[in-house]
Amino acid sequence: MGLLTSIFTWWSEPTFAARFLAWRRGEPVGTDQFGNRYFRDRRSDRRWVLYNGEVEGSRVPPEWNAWLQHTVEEVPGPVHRHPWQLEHEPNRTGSPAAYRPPGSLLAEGRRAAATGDYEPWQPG
Amino acid sequence: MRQSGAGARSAPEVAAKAASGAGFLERSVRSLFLTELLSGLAVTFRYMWKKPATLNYPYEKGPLSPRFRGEHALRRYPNGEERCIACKLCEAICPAQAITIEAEPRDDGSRRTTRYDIDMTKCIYCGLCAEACPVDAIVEGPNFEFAAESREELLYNKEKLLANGDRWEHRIAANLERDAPYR
Repeated sequence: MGLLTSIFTWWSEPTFAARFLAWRRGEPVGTDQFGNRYFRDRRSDRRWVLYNGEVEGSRVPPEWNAWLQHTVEEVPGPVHRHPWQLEHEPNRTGSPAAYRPPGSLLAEGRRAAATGDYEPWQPG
Repeated sequence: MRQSGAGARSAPEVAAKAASGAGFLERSVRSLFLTELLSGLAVTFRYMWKKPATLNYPYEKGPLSPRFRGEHALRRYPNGEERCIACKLCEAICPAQAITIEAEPRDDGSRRTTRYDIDMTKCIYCGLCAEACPVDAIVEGPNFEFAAESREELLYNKEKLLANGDRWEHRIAANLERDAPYR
Protein backbone atom coordinates (compact mmCIF):
# COMPACT_ATOMS: atom_id res chain seq x y z
CA MET A 1 0.00 0.00 0.00
CA GLY A 2 1.11 3.54 0.56
CA LEU A 3 4.30 4.84 2.06
CA LEU A 4 2.48 6.07 5.16
CA THR A 5 1.08 2.65 6.09
CA SER A 6 4.48 1.03 5.69
CA ILE A 7 6.02 3.62 8.01
CA PHE A 8 3.35 3.86 10.69
CA THR A 9 1.79 0.39 10.77
CA TRP A 10 3.31 -3.01 11.34
CA TRP A 11 0.34 -5.17 10.35
CA SER A 12 -0.62 -4.09 6.84
CA GLU A 13 2.66 -5.05 5.19
CA PRO A 14 6.23 -5.97 6.22
CA THR A 15 7.98 -3.18 8.10
CA PHE A 16 11.06 -1.41 6.81
CA ALA A 17 13.16 -3.19 9.42
CA ALA A 18 11.99 -6.59 8.17
CA ARG A 19 12.64 -5.63 4.55
CA PHE A 20 16.07 -4.25 5.43
CA LEU A 21 17.01 -7.43 7.27
CA ALA A 22 15.92 -9.53 4.30
CA TRP A 23 17.96 -7.39 1.93
CA ARG A 24 21.04 -7.22 4.15
CA ARG A 25 21.28 -10.75 5.50
CA GLY A 26 18.68 -12.82 3.73
CA GLU A 27 19.22 -15.38 1.05
CA PRO A 28 16.00 -15.82 -0.99
CA VAL A 29 14.72 -19.37 -0.78
CA GLY A 30 11.45 -19.28 -2.63
CA THR A 31 7.97 -17.91 -3.06
CA ASP A 32 4.69 -19.63 -2.28
CA GLN A 33 1.44 -19.57 -4.24
CA PHE A 34 0.27 -16.45 -2.38
CA GLY A 35 3.37 -14.40 -3.15
CA ASN A 36 4.94 -14.61 0.32
CA ARG A 37 8.72 -14.59 -0.02
CA TYR A 38 10.93 -16.82 2.14
CA PHE A 39 14.47 -16.12 3.28
CA ARG A 40 17.26 -17.91 5.06
CA ASP A 41 19.88 -16.05 7.06
CA ARG A 42 23.30 -16.15 5.40
CA ARG A 43 25.12 -16.36 8.73
CA SER A 44 22.84 -18.39 11.01
CA ASP A 45 19.99 -20.87 10.97
CA ARG A 46 17.24 -18.26 11.10
CA ARG A 47 14.43 -18.47 8.57
CA TRP A 48 11.82 -15.84 7.92
CA VAL A 49 9.05 -14.78 5.59
CA LEU A 50 8.13 -11.45 4.05
CA TYR A 51 4.36 -11.44 3.70
CA ASN A 52 2.73 -10.29 0.52
CA GLY A 53 0.30 -7.91 2.23
CA GLU A 54 -1.04 -8.32 5.71
CA VAL A 55 1.48 -9.55 8.30
CA GLU A 56 -0.43 -12.49 9.77
CA GLY A 57 1.15 -15.78 10.83
CA SER A 58 -1.65 -18.00 9.55
CA ARG A 59 -1.18 -16.79 5.97
CA VAL A 60 1.74 -19.17 5.49
CA PRO A 61 0.55 -22.34 3.68
CA PRO A 62 1.18 -25.70 5.45
CA GLU A 63 4.11 -26.86 3.30
CA TRP A 64 6.06 -23.64 3.79
CA ASN A 65 5.01 -23.50 7.42
CA ALA A 66 6.85 -26.80 7.95
CA TRP A 67 10.00 -25.28 6.52
CA LEU A 68 9.59 -22.02 8.42
CA GLN A 69 9.09 -23.87 11.70
CA HIS A 70 12.25 -25.98 11.17
CA THR A 71 10.16 -29.17 11.03
CA VAL A 72 11.71 -30.05 7.65
CA GLU A 73 15.07 -29.02 6.24
CA GLU A 74 14.33 -29.24 2.53
CA VAL A 75 12.57 -26.39 0.77
CA PRO A 76 9.04 -27.45 -0.26
CA GLY A 77 8.62 -28.11 -3.94
CA PRO A 78 5.50 -28.73 -5.99
CA VAL A 79 3.39 -31.43 -4.36
CA HIS A 80 0.92 -33.89 -5.79
CA ARG A 81 -2.53 -32.99 -4.54
CA HIS A 82 -5.53 -35.22 -4.25
CA PRO A 83 -8.54 -33.70 -6.01
CA TRP A 84 -10.41 -33.38 -2.72
CA GLN A 85 -7.70 -31.31 -1.06
CA LEU A 86 -8.46 -27.64 -0.51
CA GLU A 87 -6.32 -24.56 -0.87
CA HIS A 88 -4.88 -23.11 2.31
CA GLU A 89 -6.93 -20.44 4.02
CA PRO A 90 -5.68 -18.03 6.68
CA ASN A 91 -7.46 -17.59 9.98
CA ARG A 92 -10.68 -15.79 9.08
CA THR A 93 -11.75 -14.76 12.56
CA GLY A 94 -13.06 -11.20 12.82
CA SER A 95 -14.16 -11.15 9.20
CA PRO A 96 -17.54 -12.03 7.65
CA ALA A 97 -15.97 -15.24 6.31
CA ALA A 98 -15.24 -16.51 9.84
CA TYR A 99 -16.39 -20.01 10.71
CA ARG A 100 -19.73 -20.12 12.49
CA PRO A 101 -21.24 -23.33 13.80
CA PRO A 102 -24.78 -24.08 12.61
CA GLY A 103 -27.18 -22.51 15.04
CA SER A 104 -25.07 -19.40 15.53
CA LEU A 105 -27.00 -16.12 15.51
CA LEU A 106 -24.58 -14.88 12.85
CA ALA A 107 -25.03 -17.87 10.55
CA GLU A 108 -27.76 -19.47 8.55
CA GLY A 109 -29.28 -22.75 9.59
CA ARG A 110 -30.18 -24.51 12.79
CA ARG A 111 -28.18 -26.80 14.96
CA ALA A 112 -29.32 -30.35 14.39
CA ALA A 113 -31.28 -31.74 17.31
CA ALA A 114 -29.70 -34.54 19.31
CA THR A 115 -30.92 -37.90 18.09
CA GLY A 116 -31.57 -39.55 21.39
CA ASP A 117 -28.47 -41.32 22.70
CA TYR A 118 -27.93 -38.26 24.87
CA GLU A 119 -30.17 -37.02 27.61
CA PRO A 120 -29.73 -33.27 27.80
CA TRP A 121 -29.16 -31.81 31.22
CA GLN A 122 -32.11 -29.77 32.47
CA PRO A 123 -31.51 -26.95 34.92
CA GLY A 124 -33.43 -27.01 38.18
CA MET B 1 36.10 -18.95 64.69
CA ARG B 2 39.22 -18.28 62.64
CA GLN B 3 39.09 -17.40 58.98
CA SER B 4 40.98 -19.90 56.83
CA GLY B 5 41.44 -17.40 54.00
CA ALA B 6 40.34 -13.95 52.93
CA GLY B 7 38.08 -15.11 50.09
CA ALA B 8 36.68 -18.18 51.79
CA ARG B 9 33.92 -16.60 53.87
CA SER B 10 30.57 -18.33 53.35
CA ALA B 11 27.37 -16.40 52.81
CA PRO B 12 25.91 -17.01 56.31
CA GLU B 13 29.15 -15.77 57.86
CA VAL B 14 29.04 -12.60 55.82
CA ALA B 15 25.40 -12.05 56.73
CA ALA B 16 26.14 -12.62 60.38
CA LYS B 17 29.02 -10.17 60.29
CA ALA B 18 26.92 -7.54 58.52
CA ALA B 19 24.12 -8.00 61.02
CA SER B 20 26.46 -7.64 63.99
CA GLY B 21 27.64 -4.28 62.66
CA ALA B 22 31.24 -5.41 62.20
CA GLY B 23 31.11 -4.52 58.49
CA PHE B 24 29.98 -0.96 59.15
CA LEU B 25 32.67 0.61 56.99
CA GLU B 26 32.07 -1.83 54.19
CA ARG B 27 28.34 -1.20 54.21
CA SER B 28 28.79 2.56 54.27
CA VAL B 29 31.09 2.48 51.28
CA ARG B 30 28.70 0.23 49.40
CA SER B 31 25.72 2.50 49.94
CA LEU B 32 27.72 5.70 49.31
CA PHE B 33 29.11 4.57 45.94
CA LEU B 34 25.96 2.63 44.87
CA THR B 35 28.04 -0.43 44.02
CA GLU B 36 25.00 -2.76 44.02
CA LEU B 37 23.27 -0.55 41.48
CA LEU B 38 26.38 -0.62 39.30
CA SER B 39 26.83 -4.37 39.53
CA GLY B 40 23.18 -4.77 38.55
CA LEU B 41 23.68 -2.46 35.60
CA ALA B 42 26.75 -4.47 34.63
CA VAL B 43 24.52 -7.53 34.23
CA THR B 44 22.16 -5.51 32.03
CA PHE B 45 25.10 -4.30 29.98
CA ARG B 46 26.46 -7.82 29.51
CA TYR B 47 23.10 -8.99 28.18
CA MET B 48 23.11 -6.19 25.61
CA TRP B 49 25.86 -8.07 23.77
CA LYS B 50 24.27 -11.50 23.95
CA LYS B 51 22.16 -13.00 21.22
CA PRO B 52 18.48 -12.13 21.84
CA ALA B 53 16.33 -15.06 22.89
CA THR B 54 13.25 -13.61 21.20
CA LEU B 55 11.75 -14.35 17.78
CA ASN B 56 10.28 -11.80 15.41
CA TYR B 57 7.06 -13.82 15.39
CA PRO B 58 4.91 -13.17 12.36
CA TYR B 59 8.06 -13.20 10.23
CA GLU B 60 9.87 -15.94 12.10
CA LYS B 61 8.43 -18.96 13.85
CA GLY B 62 9.86 -21.20 16.53
CA PRO B 63 10.84 -24.82 15.89
CA LEU B 64 7.94 -27.27 15.87
CA SER B 65 8.07 -31.02 16.42
CA PRO B 66 6.22 -33.39 14.06
CA ARG B 67 4.47 -34.59 17.22
CA PHE B 68 3.03 -31.17 17.99
CA ARG B 69 -0.61 -31.37 19.04
CA GLY B 70 -2.49 -28.42 17.63
CA GLU B 71 -5.80 -27.91 15.89
CA HIS B 72 -7.83 -31.04 15.18
CA ALA B 73 -8.58 -32.37 11.73
CA LEU B 74 -10.55 -35.27 10.29
CA ARG B 75 -8.66 -37.03 7.52
CA ARG B 76 -9.72 -38.80 4.36
CA TYR B 77 -8.43 -41.81 2.47
CA PRO B 78 -6.58 -40.99 -0.77
CA ASN B 79 -9.76 -41.75 -2.73
CA GLY B 80 -11.61 -39.02 -0.82
CA GLU B 81 -13.63 -41.28 1.47
CA GLU B 82 -13.69 -40.01 5.05
CA ARG B 83 -11.81 -42.25 7.43
CA CYS B 84 -13.96 -41.90 10.52
CA ILE B 85 -16.09 -45.00 11.13
CA ALA B 86 -17.88 -43.63 14.20
CA CYS B 87 -16.40 -46.14 16.65
CA LYS B 88 -16.56 -43.41 19.30
CA LEU B 89 -13.26 -44.42 20.93
CA CYS B 90 -12.11 -40.80 20.85
CA GLU B 91 -15.33 -39.70 22.48
CA ALA B 92 -14.89 -42.33 25.19
CA ILE B 93 -11.26 -41.55 25.94
CA CYS B 94 -11.53 -37.75 25.87
CA PRO B 95 -10.68 -36.64 29.43
CA ALA B 96 -12.41 -33.29 28.91
CA GLN B 97 -15.46 -34.85 27.22
CA ALA B 98 -15.08 -32.36 24.42
CA ILE B 99 -16.16 -34.69 21.61
CA THR B 100 -19.76 -35.47 20.66
CA ILE B 101 -20.48 -38.09 18.02
CA GLU B 102 -23.69 -39.37 16.54
CA ALA B 103 -23.75 -42.01 13.86
CA GLU B 104 -26.02 -43.99 11.63
CA PRO B 105 -25.55 -46.25 8.59
CA ARG B 106 -25.21 -44.42 5.32
CA ASP B 107 -27.21 -45.25 2.19
CA ASP B 108 -24.48 -47.62 0.99
CA GLY B 109 -24.58 -49.43 4.32
CA SER B 110 -21.30 -48.12 5.77
CA ARG B 111 -21.35 -46.68 9.24
CA ARG B 112 -20.44 -42.99 9.34
CA THR B 113 -20.90 -40.08 11.69
CA THR B 114 -23.80 -37.72 11.24
CA ARG B 115 -22.44 -35.39 13.89
CA TYR B 116 -18.85 -34.95 14.97
CA ASP B 117 -18.47 -31.95 17.23
CA ILE B 118 -15.36 -30.92 19.14
CA ASP B 119 -15.65 -28.16 21.67
CA MET B 120 -12.21 -26.60 21.30
CA THR B 121 -12.77 -24.56 24.45
CA LYS B 122 -13.04 -27.79 26.47
CA CYS B 123 -10.20 -29.58 24.68
CA ILE B 124 -6.98 -29.85 26.67
CA TYR B 125 -4.90 -30.90 23.64
CA CYS B 126 -3.72 -34.12 25.26
CA GLY B 127 -3.78 -36.04 21.97
CA LEU B 128 -5.58 -39.07 23.39
CA CYS B 129 -8.23 -38.92 20.64
CA ALA B 130 -5.53 -39.29 18.00
CA GLU B 131 -3.92 -42.12 19.99
CA ALA B 132 -7.23 -43.94 20.33
CA CYS B 133 -8.28 -43.65 16.70
CA PRO B 134 -7.93 -47.03 14.93
CA VAL B 135 -8.06 -45.53 11.42
CA ASP B 136 -6.00 -42.34 11.96
CA ALA B 137 -9.08 -40.28 11.21
CA ILE B 138 -8.99 -37.71 14.01
CA VAL B 139 -5.55 -36.16 14.37
CA GLU B 140 -4.12 -33.11 16.03
CA GLY B 141 -2.42 -31.20 13.27
CA PRO B 142 0.46 -28.75 13.43
CA ASN B 143 -1.70 -25.62 13.23
CA PHE B 144 -1.81 -23.46 16.33
CA GLU B 145 -2.89 -20.22 14.67
CA PHE B 146 -6.62 -20.72 15.03
CA ALA B 147 -7.34 -18.22 17.79
CA ALA B 148 -10.84 -16.79 17.41
CA GLU B 149 -12.60 -13.62 18.45
CA SER B 150 -15.71 -15.32 19.76
CA ARG B 151 -16.32 -18.49 21.69
CA GLU B 152 -18.76 -20.00 19.21
CA GLU B 153 -16.09 -20.04 16.51
CA LEU B 154 -14.32 -22.70 18.57
CA LEU B 155 -17.28 -25.08 18.58
CA TYR B 156 -16.11 -27.14 15.62
CA ASN B 157 -18.47 -29.37 13.69
CA LYS B 158 -17.73 -32.20 11.29
CA GLU B 159 -17.66 -29.97 8.22
CA LYS B 160 -15.04 -27.69 9.75
CA LEU B 161 -12.90 -30.61 10.92
CA LEU B 162 -13.00 -32.25 7.50
CA ALA B 163 -12.09 -28.93 5.87
CA ASN B 164 -9.10 -28.67 8.22
CA GLY B 165 -8.03 -32.12 7.13
CA ASP B 166 -8.44 -31.24 3.46
CA ARG B 167 -6.24 -28.16 3.91
CA TRP B 168 -3.53 -29.69 6.09
CA GLU B 169 -3.42 -33.27 4.71
CA HIS B 170 0.11 -33.05 3.31
CA ARG B 171 1.59 -31.72 6.49
CA ILE B 172 -0.34 -34.14 8.70
CA ALA B 173 0.64 -37.17 6.57
CA ALA B 174 4.29 -36.07 6.53
CA ASN B 175 4.29 -35.60 10.31
CA LEU B 176 2.73 -39.02 10.92
CA GLU B 177 5.33 -40.59 8.66
CA ARG B 178 8.18 -38.88 10.49
CA ASP B 179 6.85 -39.99 13.85
CA ALA B 180 6.08 -43.57 12.79
CA PRO B 181 9.55 -45.03 13.66
CA TYR B 182 9.06 -44.05 17.30
CA ARG B 183 5.70 -45.77 17.72
